[in-house]
Amino acid sequence: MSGSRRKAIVALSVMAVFMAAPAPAAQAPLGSGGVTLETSPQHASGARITAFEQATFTLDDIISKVEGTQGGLVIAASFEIVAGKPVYRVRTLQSWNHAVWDGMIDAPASSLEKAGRRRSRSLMPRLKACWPGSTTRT
Amino acid sequence: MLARLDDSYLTLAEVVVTAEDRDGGKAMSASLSEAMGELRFRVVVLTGEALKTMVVDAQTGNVVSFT
Repeated sequence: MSGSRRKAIVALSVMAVFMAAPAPAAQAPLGSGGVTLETSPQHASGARITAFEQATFTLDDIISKVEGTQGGLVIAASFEIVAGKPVYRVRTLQSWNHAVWDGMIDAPASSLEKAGRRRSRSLMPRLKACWPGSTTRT
Repeated sequence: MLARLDDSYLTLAEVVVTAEDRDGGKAMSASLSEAMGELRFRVVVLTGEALKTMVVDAQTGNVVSFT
């Protein structure tokens, strides 16, 4: 194989890899692929803290709102910056069907930004491993 | 965990308020998790420029740590 042909094949291979790679998700779902609600102080960046200080609604407000509208019990909530926007990410556990609901609340407006997703009870063991503070993730 | 959650002494919202009152801060994140057979709440509070973590035993309501 000639040198130029080999270079062309390598270049095409590299291009194919980049084209096949998924684009970075603007918002990764909770509990999948290692993305969890961040509850450790080590996760808090300066920008996140600054945005949090300016947030109108408190974590308590958000928990009350979600429990009042979605039902269930909030088991995790966190202020985060997602795609440059301040949001509260919330996870509830619905005792009547044992489903986990994940949602995202627009922090300045306190409105539901992203419709929540329900997971069946069969996913609970995997979710448990992703819960912040668990023995597998600290 | 679901059964134990029903027996929990507190809710996440109550623990958040308690953590904020304790140090005059503002809760940034909170969660309920099960570790080593124990159900615990963990709340991260921003106090001034410092972040502190309060861990509360969900069954007893006792503060396990506040660092």
